[in-house]
Amino acid sequence: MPEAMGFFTDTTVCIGCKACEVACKEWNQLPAENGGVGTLSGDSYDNTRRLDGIHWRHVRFIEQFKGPYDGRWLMMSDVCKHCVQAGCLEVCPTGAIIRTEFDTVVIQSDVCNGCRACIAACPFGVIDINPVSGTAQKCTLCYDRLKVGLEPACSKACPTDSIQFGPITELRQRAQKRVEQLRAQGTKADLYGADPKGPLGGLNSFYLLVDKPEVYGLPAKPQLPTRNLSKSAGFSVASAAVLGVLALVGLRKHRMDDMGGPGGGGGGGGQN
Amino acid sequence: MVVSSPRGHIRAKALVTDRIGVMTVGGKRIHHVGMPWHWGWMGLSTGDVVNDLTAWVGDPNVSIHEGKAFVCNVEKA
Amino acid sequence: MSDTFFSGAPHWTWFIIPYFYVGGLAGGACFLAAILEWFGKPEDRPVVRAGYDVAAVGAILSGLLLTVDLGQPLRFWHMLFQSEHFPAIMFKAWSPISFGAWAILLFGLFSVLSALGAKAEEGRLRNAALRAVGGVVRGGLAKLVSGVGGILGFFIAGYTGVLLSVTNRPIWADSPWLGALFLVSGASTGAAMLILLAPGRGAAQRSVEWLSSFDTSALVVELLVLALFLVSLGSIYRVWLSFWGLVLLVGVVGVGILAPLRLHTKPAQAAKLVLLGGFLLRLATMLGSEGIDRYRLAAGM
Repeated sequence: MPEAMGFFTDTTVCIGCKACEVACKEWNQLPAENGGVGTLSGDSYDNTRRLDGIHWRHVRFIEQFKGPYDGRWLMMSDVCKHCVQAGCLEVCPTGAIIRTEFDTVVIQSDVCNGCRACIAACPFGVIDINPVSGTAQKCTLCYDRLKVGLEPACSKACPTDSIQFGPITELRQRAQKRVEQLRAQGTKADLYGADPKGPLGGLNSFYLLVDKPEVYGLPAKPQLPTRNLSKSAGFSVASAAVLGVLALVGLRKHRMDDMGGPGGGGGGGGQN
Repeated sequence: MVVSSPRGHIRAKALVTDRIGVMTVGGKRIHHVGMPWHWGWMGLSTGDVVNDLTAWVGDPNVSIHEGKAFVCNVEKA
Repeated sequence: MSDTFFSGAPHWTWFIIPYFYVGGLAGGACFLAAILEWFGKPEDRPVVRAGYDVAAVGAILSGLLLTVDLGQPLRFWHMLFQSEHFPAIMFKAWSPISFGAWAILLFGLFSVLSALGAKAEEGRLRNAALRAVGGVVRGGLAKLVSGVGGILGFFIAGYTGVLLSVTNRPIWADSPWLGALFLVSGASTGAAMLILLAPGRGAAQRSVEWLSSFDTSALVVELLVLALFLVSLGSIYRVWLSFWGLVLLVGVVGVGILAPLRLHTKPAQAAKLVLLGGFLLRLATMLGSEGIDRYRLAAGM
């Protein structure tokens, strides 16, 4: 199917079971952290803490309580956003990061040399080095499963269908209907990354959120790293020019000093 | 933390949250302790067995301890 | 809070910080050597030769540091050639890491050629093959090689700062002035290194004086660019209310810029302080950002 596929994650039905994390680790044979002995983070039920080279799905738990029993508990399964305009793909110097026929972003592990440019470029902090391979790794949207017509492991495992997989156009329609349904019930719901005219041209893994993106650990207005290229390069060139002029002027001044120095020969200045 | 009941005591780590809040019963503040998983000492993720705190009265069919709600004491380990 | 605080730290640390420093220094030295190659007098030759040596050694060291830092060092060539379609060239003009890899390679080539040419001029090459190569690099060709090397040198000094800006990391991506700052620092540290080495290579007093006055101007420009950099960070300036901010203030501004300016009559002492300050600049700007990790922030949100 050569059309854009991706995820729509409805966080309002996520139950925080972490089946997505387990399915992802199992399918991709990712190593356990700390030899498999868990360490508690102290941050609600989130002991995965972050997305990195060996965690390609990460369920966030955000407790918003004003007092005993008074408040709500937000849960969201974080993953690579497979941006339509991907910062990681932009800066990758080996060409390891490619866009597939499903419009997903994949790192080719045999090409990557572990320079970590993508890690610094991702606005969402999704990528990190997998210590086993020494290369950068992240969610592949189960490219290997998509190629044989299966859906990704996480969306298959999700018991509440919080993670939905399908063609992006269809997912966007579904998401819009769900947002309207929630708003009619009085819940403040918004889509994050569903707008093709929005930041990064839209995200192929977009979300339905009930609070500001920052609450979920997502940047409000993610941008491409190359936005800084022309200004940064321009100022560098300008400073190089200034230094060049200073160097030459200094050299000329020293020549002049040499000519006019005490005991200098008669007949003033001339070139060199 | 050490959680103890008349039957025994176990060590556990505490997660303080308002999801399970403080109740006021008869003017007294009653704290609610939840232990959602019973642990054990086999496997990678191990811990003290919560059933050490419950009464040793079992269901006649499968021997599951009949009661899981009781009073307990919580103190720093 | 800036959106850059939601990204992940790349951990460009123990090999990359020295690389930024050495590369900048080597680039600055090459630039100065090129200026003197083109516009200098015969008495300036010792500085020119010292400049090429610093540039060549620095370039080779830079290449090694970069390669060792990779997660898969033996795949360093993947940044130069497409690994699946060798020998097709791998080059992305919009990615600083990509064009930087090529720049390091070319800078290394040109600076080594210039150094060999200078050594041949002195008659100090014992190896016949090297002597043959060095012998070619003289006269007009030497000027050309030197000119290209000088430009590449400045490129190497500045592109590292541009590379940091073309990310989504805090501090680095929040200002467009890092490229300029690193370039000017490269020039000032390059000059300082030559001030220390040149007298031992038989340089004339005049040459060292020129280096010293250039270093003074470069330090003033560096102070100005540093101020522009800090102002451009806007509300993110708060990141400097920390240990790294102290290093920036005391180490970079105090020890690395103001003290050498005061000591301009004692060029050797001033030069040592400039070298220290340049290193502390890389340390503070790199580790100041690396310490901001998304997971720590998110967990506390």
